[in-house]
Amino acid sequence: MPWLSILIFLPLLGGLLIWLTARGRTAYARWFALVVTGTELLIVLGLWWAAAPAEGGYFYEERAPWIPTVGIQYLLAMDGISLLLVLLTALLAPVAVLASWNAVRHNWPAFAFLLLATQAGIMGVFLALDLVLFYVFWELMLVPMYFLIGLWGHARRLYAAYKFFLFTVTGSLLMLVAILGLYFTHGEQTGVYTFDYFELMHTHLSGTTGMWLMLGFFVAFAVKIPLFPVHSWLPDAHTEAPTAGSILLAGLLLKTGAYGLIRFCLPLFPEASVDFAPFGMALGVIGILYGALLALVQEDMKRLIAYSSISHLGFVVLGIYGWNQEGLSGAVILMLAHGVTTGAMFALVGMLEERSGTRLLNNLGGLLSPLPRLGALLLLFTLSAMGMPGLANFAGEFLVLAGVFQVSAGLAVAGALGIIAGVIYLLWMYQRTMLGELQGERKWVDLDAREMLTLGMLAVAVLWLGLYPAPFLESLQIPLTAIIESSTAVTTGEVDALH
Amino acid sequence: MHSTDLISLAPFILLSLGGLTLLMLGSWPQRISTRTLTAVALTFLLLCATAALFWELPHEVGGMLVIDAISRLFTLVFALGAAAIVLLSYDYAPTRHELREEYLSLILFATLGMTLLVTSRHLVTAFIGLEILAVPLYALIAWRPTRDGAIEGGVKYAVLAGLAAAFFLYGIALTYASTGTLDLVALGTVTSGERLLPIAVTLILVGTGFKLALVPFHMWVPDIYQAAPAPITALFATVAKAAALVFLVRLLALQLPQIWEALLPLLWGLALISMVVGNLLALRQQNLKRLLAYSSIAHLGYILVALAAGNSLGRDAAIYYALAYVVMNLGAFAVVAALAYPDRDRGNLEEYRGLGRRYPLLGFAMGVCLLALAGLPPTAGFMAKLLAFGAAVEAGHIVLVVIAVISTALAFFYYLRIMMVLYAEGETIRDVTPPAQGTVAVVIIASVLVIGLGIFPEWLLKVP
Repeated sequence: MPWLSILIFLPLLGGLLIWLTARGRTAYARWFALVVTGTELLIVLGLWWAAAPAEGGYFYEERAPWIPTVGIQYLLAMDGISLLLVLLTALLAPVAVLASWNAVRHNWPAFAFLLLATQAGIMGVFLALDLVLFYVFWELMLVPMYFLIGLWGHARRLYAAYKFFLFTVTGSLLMLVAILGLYFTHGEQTGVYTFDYFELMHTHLSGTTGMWLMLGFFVAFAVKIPLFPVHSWLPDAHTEAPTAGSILLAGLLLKTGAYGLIRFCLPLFPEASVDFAPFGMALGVIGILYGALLALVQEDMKRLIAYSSISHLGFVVLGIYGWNQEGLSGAVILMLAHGVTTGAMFALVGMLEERSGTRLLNNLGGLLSPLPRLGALLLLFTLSAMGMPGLANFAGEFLVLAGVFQVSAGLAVAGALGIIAGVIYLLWMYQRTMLGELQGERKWVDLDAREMLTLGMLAVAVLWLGLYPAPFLESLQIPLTAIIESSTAVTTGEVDALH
Repeated sequence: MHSTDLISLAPFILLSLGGLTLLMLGSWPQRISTRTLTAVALTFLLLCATAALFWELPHEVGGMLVIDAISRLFTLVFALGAAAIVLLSYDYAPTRHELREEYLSLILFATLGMTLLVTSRHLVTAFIGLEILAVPLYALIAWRPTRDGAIEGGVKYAVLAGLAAAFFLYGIALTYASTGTLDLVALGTVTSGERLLPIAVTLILVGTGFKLALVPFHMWVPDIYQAAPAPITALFATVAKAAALVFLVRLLALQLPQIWEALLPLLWGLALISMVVGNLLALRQQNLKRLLAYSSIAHLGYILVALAAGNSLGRDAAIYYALAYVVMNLGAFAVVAALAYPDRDRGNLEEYRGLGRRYPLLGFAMGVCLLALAGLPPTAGFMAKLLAFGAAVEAGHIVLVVIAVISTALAFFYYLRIMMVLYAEGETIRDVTPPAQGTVAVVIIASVLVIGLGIFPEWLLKVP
C-alpha cells in the first residue's frame, strides 16, 4: 500500500468530501473530520509500529516520475525524523478538531476542509524529498491556514492573515530560487538534472555559491521558525487565529521550519552550514532571550504563549546548530515537546476564553476553585513548558544544553537564562489566571468529557516524552548520525572522501 | 499548390468563410435568431480547431506560413478560446440584445488574425495578422457605444494600436534595408554585423510591446480593460495577447547572434519595470477589471524574464506561460462576466463582497484562477513561474530572478485581497441571477485546465 500518499491524500480528499457533502450540517462535518483525523492517527501509529529501517535509515519510500522532462519526481520517504513529526501532526489534528467543536460557530464544513487541507500540506512537507514536491506542499499548507486565520480569526484577523502570508511567501520564494540554483549547479556538474534530494546531496558547491544557496533555504525556514529579525508575523497570527489555527500554527507550522533546517540546510550544504553555525546559534540565543523578555510583559495569554514559542524555537535552532548527537536529538525532542505542550496551552486558552470571554490576564483570576480540572491540566502543561524534569520539554532542553555546552559554554549559559525567564512568565501567568481573587459573578462549567479527551491525549504524550523518551531518541539515531558525519567530514577536511 | 498546402490553409479558409457566412446570414430576409447565429459561429470555430488537428507537421506554405507544433497548439487555443468567448458573450447580460452577426463575425476575423500571427514566418504576414487582429478589436471595444467610456476606449485603442503598427512597420522596413530579407528563418542566419538591425528589432519589439502592454507602453490597458464588455476584455486580454507573445517568442528564439547582446539590456529593462510597476499599480487598485489589467502587465514581465534567458528552457517556459496565462485569465474574466449586472459589469471590489459564498462554484473557480495567477502550486501558474524562473537561473540572471520573486510575493497581497472579499461576510445583494450554463461550462473547463496543466505539464512540455 502507498501508505505515505495515503497520509497526505486521506485528509485532503476527506476534507473535500466533507465540504461538498455536508450542506451546512455542522454535526456531520465535525464527526466526519474527527473520523478522518482519527483514522490518520491510527495509520501513523501502525506505521510507527511496523517501521523497520531500510538502507540509510528510511522506513518507507515511494517514488514515481512526475515531470521527467525537467527531472521532477513524486518522491516521498520517511525516516526517523519525519516519522516523529508525522506522528506529532497526526496527534495534533484530532486535537484541533476537538478544540474547535463548539468554538467554531459558522460554516463548519468549510472550516473542516481547510483544517484537513492544512494537515495534508504539513504531512506532505514532512514526507516529500523531491525539492519541487517539497516546495509544492510548503506553499500548499499556507493557503488553508491563511483562510483559517482570515475567516475565523479574532478582531484583527485580516491584518494578521496578510502579514503571515506575505512574510512566509517571500521567504519561500527565495528558497525556490535557491532550489533552482542548486538544481542547475548539480546539473552542470553531473549532467543529471534532477530535484531528487538524495542526488543533490552530492553536489560540490564552492564557498560563495554554497553560502548563497544555503541562505536562500535558511531565509524560508527562519521565517517559519521564526528567528529573531523575521519573527514579527508570529505574535499577530497566533493571537488572531482561531484556537485550532493557533494549535496547528504553533504545534506544526513552526516545526516545518526547524525540520527544513535539519533535513535540507545541514545535509545539502554542509560546508556553508558549518561556517554559518556560530551565527545560527547566536540567532537561536537571541530568539530565546528576546522571546522570553517579551513574554514577560504580555497581557494577552495567547500573545504570551506566542512569544514563549519564539523562545522555545530558539532552543531548537540552538540545538540544531550545536550540531552534535545531543544537540540535534534534543532539538527534535524539543520540537515534539513544544508541539504537544503549546498545542495543549492554546487549546486551554481557547477553552478558558469560551468560558470567560477574555484572554487578558487582568480580567482573569481565582479560577482554580470553580474550574479544578482545567486548572490542574493547565498546571501540568505550564510545568512542562517551563522545563520541569519528568515532563516533555525538560528532556529536549536538557539535551540541547548538554550538546551546546560542548561547543560553547557561554551560549549554553545564555540559553539557560531563557529557561529561568520562562519559569517567571509562565508561573506568573498561572498565578494571575488560576490563583488570587475570583472576579465577577458568573456560572462556571468545568471541562466536559470531550475537552478532557482532547487534553488527555496530549497529557499522555507530555508524560511519555518526559519520562521515557528512549523510543523517540532511538528512531532519531540513524538519520542524525548521518547529518553529524557530514559536519565532521567538513571540519576535518575530508569532504571529498564523503562524496 | 499541393494538397498538404490546402490542409494547412484549411483553418484560415474556415475562419474567413465563417465570418462571411455570418455576415450573409445577418442580411437574410427573414430574421435569424441570435441562437442560430451563435451556433454557426461556434461550428466554424470548432471546425477550424478540428482542421488544425489534421495538419501535417512540420510544413511551410510558400515561405509565408510555418505549420509546426507551436502553430497547431496555439491555433487550437485560439479557436477554442474564441469559442469560449462566444459562449460568454451569448450569456452576458449587458450586451444581450446587441449580439448579432457583426459581433460574431468580428470575433471570427480576430481569430483569423491571431492564427495568422502565430503561424507567420515572414514579417509581412505577421504584420497582416496583427492588423486583422487589431481592426475587429477597435469595433468590439466600443460595442454598445452608449456605455460610459465605450467610444473613448475604442478610440484610445485605435490610436495606440495605430502607433504600434507604425513602429512595427518601420521596424520591418529597417530590417529589409539592413538584411535584404523579411523571412524569419533567413534572418536567423544573417551574419553581417549590420548596425541597423538592432534598431529594427527594437522597433518591432516596441510595436509588439504595445500589444502586450509592457511598461512603458501600458497606458491604454487599464482604461480599455474597464471600458470593454467583460467577454471582449477576455478576448484581448487572453488570446490576443498570447498571439502577439508567440510571435515575439518566434522572433527572439532566432537568437539573432550578433544583436542578442544589444537586445539583452532592453529585454531586462522591459521585464523588470513591467513586473515591478504592474504589481505596484495593482496593489491599491479597487476596480477588479483594472486590477486584472495591471496584474497582466506583471505577468508579461515574468514571461520576458524567461525570454531574456535566451535558452531553450526559456522558450518552452514562455510558451507554457502563454498558455497558462490564457487559461487563468479566461477563467477569471469568465467569472467577471458571469457576475455582471444586467446593465454593466461589477466595478469596485466591494461589489463582489460575499459572492463566493452565494455562488460556490464561481467562487471556487475564481479562487483557483486567482491562486494560479498568484503562482501557487499545484496550478499552471506555479509551473509557469517555476519554468520561467528556472530558465533565468540557468542563464545566470540571478538578480532579475530575485526581483521577479519579490514582486511575485508582493502580488500575493492583491490576489488574496480579492479572495478575501469574495468570501467575506455581508454581501451587497442586487439582482441575483443564476449564472447561465454556457458561462458555467467555460468557468469549469478553465479551472480544470488550470489545475490539470499544473499537475501534468508534461504533455505540454513535450510539444515544442
